[in-house]
Amino acid sequence: MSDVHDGVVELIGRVTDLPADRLGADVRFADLGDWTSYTALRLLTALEDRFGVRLDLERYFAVHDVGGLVAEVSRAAGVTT
Amino acid sequence: MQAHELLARVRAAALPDAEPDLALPGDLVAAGEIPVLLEAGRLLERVPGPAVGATRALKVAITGTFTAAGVAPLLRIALLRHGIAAEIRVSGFDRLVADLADPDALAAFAPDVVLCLLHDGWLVPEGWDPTDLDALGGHLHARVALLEGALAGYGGTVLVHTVPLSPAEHRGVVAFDARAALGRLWREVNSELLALAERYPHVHALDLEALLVGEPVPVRDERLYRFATSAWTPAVELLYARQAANFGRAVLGKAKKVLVLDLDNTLWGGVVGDDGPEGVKVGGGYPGNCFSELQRRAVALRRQGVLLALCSKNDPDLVDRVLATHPDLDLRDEDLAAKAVNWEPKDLNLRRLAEQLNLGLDAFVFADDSAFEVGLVRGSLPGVSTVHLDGDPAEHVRKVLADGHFDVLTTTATDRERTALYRARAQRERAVSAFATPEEYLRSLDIRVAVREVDEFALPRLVQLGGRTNQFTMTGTPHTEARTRAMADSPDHLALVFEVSDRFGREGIVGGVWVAKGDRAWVVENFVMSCRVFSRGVEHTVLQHVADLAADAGAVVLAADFRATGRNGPAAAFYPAVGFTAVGDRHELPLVPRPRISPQWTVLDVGGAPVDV
Repeated sequence: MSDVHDGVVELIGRVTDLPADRLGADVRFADLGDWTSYTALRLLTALEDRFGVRLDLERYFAVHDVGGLVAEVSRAAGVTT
Repeated sequence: MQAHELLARVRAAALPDAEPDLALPGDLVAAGEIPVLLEAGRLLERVPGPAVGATRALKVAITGTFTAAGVAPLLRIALLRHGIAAEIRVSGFDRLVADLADPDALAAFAPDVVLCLLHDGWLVPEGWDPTDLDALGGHLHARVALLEGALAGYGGTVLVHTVPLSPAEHRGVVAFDARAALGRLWREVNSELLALAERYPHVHALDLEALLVGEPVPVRDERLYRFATSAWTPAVELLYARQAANFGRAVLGKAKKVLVLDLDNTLWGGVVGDDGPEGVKVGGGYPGNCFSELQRRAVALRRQGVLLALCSKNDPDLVDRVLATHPDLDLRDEDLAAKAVNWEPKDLNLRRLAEQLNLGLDAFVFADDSAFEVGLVRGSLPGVSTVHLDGDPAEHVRKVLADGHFDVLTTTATDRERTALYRARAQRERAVSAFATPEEYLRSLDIRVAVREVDEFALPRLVQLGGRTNQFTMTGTPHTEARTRAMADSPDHLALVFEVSDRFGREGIVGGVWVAKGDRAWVVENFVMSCRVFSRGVEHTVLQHVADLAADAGAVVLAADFRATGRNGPAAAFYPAVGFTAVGDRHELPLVPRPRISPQWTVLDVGGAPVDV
């Protein structure tokens, strides 16, 4: 598992109050408790703050699962996974 | 402390039967990472205030012309840092005018304060024509007039703010002349927003545009503005939330009241004990001018009602000599309400200063250049706010003023005299030891108590006293300005103020009484008095007057409301001590035969011309 993966999962856990072991790569955001667009925007702020990146909003909202988000953040941060 | 540790503490505090974590709000603010604060603020909604050190409550409604989802969680933490647990209601998108105009929209929630958030996109029409600034001006003034109409109709306490204009609006205008005209037009809008605070007593204004000058952060993230009409970046939300929290604290009358300053390397450069009075750096060029600037700012705070005190490890005679004779000082002995100049530990000295000034330690701000002293005070007196003046003395003023510790809604004539009042009190206390009995001393004081109905000039002071009095008050929810005004105008109510003078000087207005008149019983809804005049029979004299008025009007009972706040112990003892008995959640005193409450050493003046406000 990459540093990006661990960081992304930690931040998802932070905005959803879920433990990291419930956030496997194939977990879909739509299936998480009270996932709203505001949760998604808080996560965006946290990700951009942590990784020092600026995510493409259209691509960000097109991502549906944890694995996809890790890949998108890695791409923006210039990290190969 | 790491983000995950802080959030773990927040989650732990939310569990039932959690141990109190009083340092949590302060640690969160100190960590200051916005994404962490957003999550912590969200989770803290579920944590009862006392578990994180909050002793007061405030209901806040947030309504705006745009989406500012971060303001509520950030405000929650900033208020908890002030010891205030907030109940926050956020209105839907662009509900501002509707909320204010519809009396039912906010009535059920009954907020203590309404925060009105504005953005330029609500004021400026899309696609406006840069060649027709008159049309733009007309539109802008109409928008402000719409807001003013809604505000005028809503009577509760409201905070509006000035609005920064997005750079794209400026850059979209190519002519320098037209850009200047746009700038002038925009300042007119902001000037009108600020003027609302002068025109309506319930409206207050925050100059956000001016605050942003000191914070080099972008106002909005264009992506999130287009995606979610989010007009402020999280950094601006945090800046606003901190200011709004200071406003909320000011509404509750919980602003800090005392600035305690160290001397060596704080108020002057160098160590007076080593360098001698002529060796300390003050006045002239750098760095002496930095210390002079701090002295002038401290005196400016004193003029606005903040008490200044010294807490310094030094020889007291030497310090007194320097304060009296050094030619370059801007701060003098008469600016100081109290001094603790000795070799004792500073936490002990702060306790003594609190006792001497008769104020809670949570009213104190302590500024010192020494990391050791700041750490000591922070550790042993968590209620005291600390300012560490390390590094370049040119930054001292900024650091002392940065957090707005002393922010109040308004200042009164009493604030200008406050230091002199406390100094007179200290003289009085020195005089008391010359008398055989306390009563003999009190008789010698020639205490006069002047009671009168509140008028327009005294009303702000009465409301201020209701808010800032913690010890001698009968309730934790003071009467608002609007309520006090209504009572003053009503024949069925009475709103009184009282002043005290004695041979050492005048105290000005030191208290007030809010009374509802009934046929059988008059009810004292609240009775507040400044702790400065405790133990002189003043409150007894005033209550005697109220009892006499009630009895003369034919009432047979004087009733009084009392609610314990945890801080108002001195008030709790008062009614039982003068003969009231508890009946349900009230205290009652029969008015037949006429009770005798007032002591013999005071003289009552009724209704006289105001001596001072």
